[in-house]
Amino acid sequence: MSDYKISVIIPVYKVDKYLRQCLDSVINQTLKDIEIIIVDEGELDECRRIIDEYEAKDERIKTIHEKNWGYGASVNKGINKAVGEYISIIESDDTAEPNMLEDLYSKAVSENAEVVKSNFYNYYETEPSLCYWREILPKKLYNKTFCPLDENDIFYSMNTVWSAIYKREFLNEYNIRFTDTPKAYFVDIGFSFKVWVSAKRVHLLKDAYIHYRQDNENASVRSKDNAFCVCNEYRTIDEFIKNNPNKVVLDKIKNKTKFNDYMWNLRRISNKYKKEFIKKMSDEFKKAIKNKEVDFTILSNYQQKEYTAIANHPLIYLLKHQWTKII
Amino acid sequence: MKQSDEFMDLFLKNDAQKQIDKMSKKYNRRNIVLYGAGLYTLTLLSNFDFSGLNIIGIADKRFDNEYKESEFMGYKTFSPTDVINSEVDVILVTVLEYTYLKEIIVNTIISKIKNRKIEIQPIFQKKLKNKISEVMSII
Repeated sequence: MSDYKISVIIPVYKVDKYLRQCLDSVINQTLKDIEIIIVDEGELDECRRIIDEYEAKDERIKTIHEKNWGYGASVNKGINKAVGEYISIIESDDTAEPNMLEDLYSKAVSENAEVVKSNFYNYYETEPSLCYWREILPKKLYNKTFCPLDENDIFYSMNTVWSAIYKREFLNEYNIRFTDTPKAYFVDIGFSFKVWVSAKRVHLLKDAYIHYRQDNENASVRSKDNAFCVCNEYRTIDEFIKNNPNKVVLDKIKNKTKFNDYMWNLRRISNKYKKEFIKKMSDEFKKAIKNKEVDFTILSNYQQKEYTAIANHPLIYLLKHQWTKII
Repeated sequence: MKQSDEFMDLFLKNDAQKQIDKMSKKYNRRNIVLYGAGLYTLTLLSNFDFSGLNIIGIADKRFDNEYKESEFMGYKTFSPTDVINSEVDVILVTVLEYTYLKEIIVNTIISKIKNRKIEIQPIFQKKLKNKISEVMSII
């Protein structure tokens, strides 16, 4: 068995402005028994020079260089190479508080948890008033170790895969990986869902450790393209749960998270994709209603209204949505 | 393009200052809370003159915890519960998704305020011609 308590996976793609801050925050963690796997998307650029420099000065750093895998494939490569007891995924434009891995690991061990997850800080380099402790985890689930199938609220929290650690054996046992097709985006959706479906012991920490950068202009979340990637994530979820004994319950949970993610996507994408996307939403929502896979009691009144409006009259909904939208 | 520049572009295209001045006249001497403490609000407050509005604070769910800052851009901060207990007359929503947030504000704040009528409005509206051209672009 490896001596590494945590394998930290850092996928790197065009982040030379921020990479040093990220790597410094990882190599200076108070938990020293870690391996650091940098998965570089392979350009011979400034990032490569920085990675080479850090690799030379810290023997815990291992690098993989290969071109254009995409985020999911890169992280999967890292997970497959990792030998640590737990896996942490840190985004290369973010930074971690020095005690992050020590705190998460000690809680994971004391609770025998497969997943330990924390809140995070919003971070803007030039706007201190927009930097704040951001609570995304359900308050009622702090200070206990729980099974997500018994406490469904965790399914509906933000998919911050980078504010958590995951037991490597657990990810391997359930074959939990990211979607790794080229140009797959928002792959945290499928990964998170698979984690919550499979985990029996999850522990949440109220504290925050990651400073999540909001002002990286290259961040995929700011793109108005890739309109249908979110649908692909739900196809992988369907595939993952199709033989699960709890499929009936999981379908209901999935249809709520799908509604939230599709609505987010509808707001995000460029106008030229909206018509096609909302028709797809309508088709999927109608099918889910017909198959009795939607539990309207777990949707708010507002969500219920929106869900049925999109299912029945997608174009009218879209025009109204566009009319009342401020930007 | 930086997101703050995108916001500025939108504000300028839609005569934001003119709309703020109109609001100042309409809501003269009434207590205003701006709802939303993100980049949108920061860009607005940094670039336009709000002195005609009696803003008593900035509200956001991000201020609903023990680590909350007491001020945002020089204004007092309010959690949703603080808004319920305040002397607010008008909530002006300063986020992109007005209809979505309005629903949340009605459920978490307005419905809990008894014996007092609170008005809720977006801080500004897109010009009609801009709305029409946007709608046409997706048909």
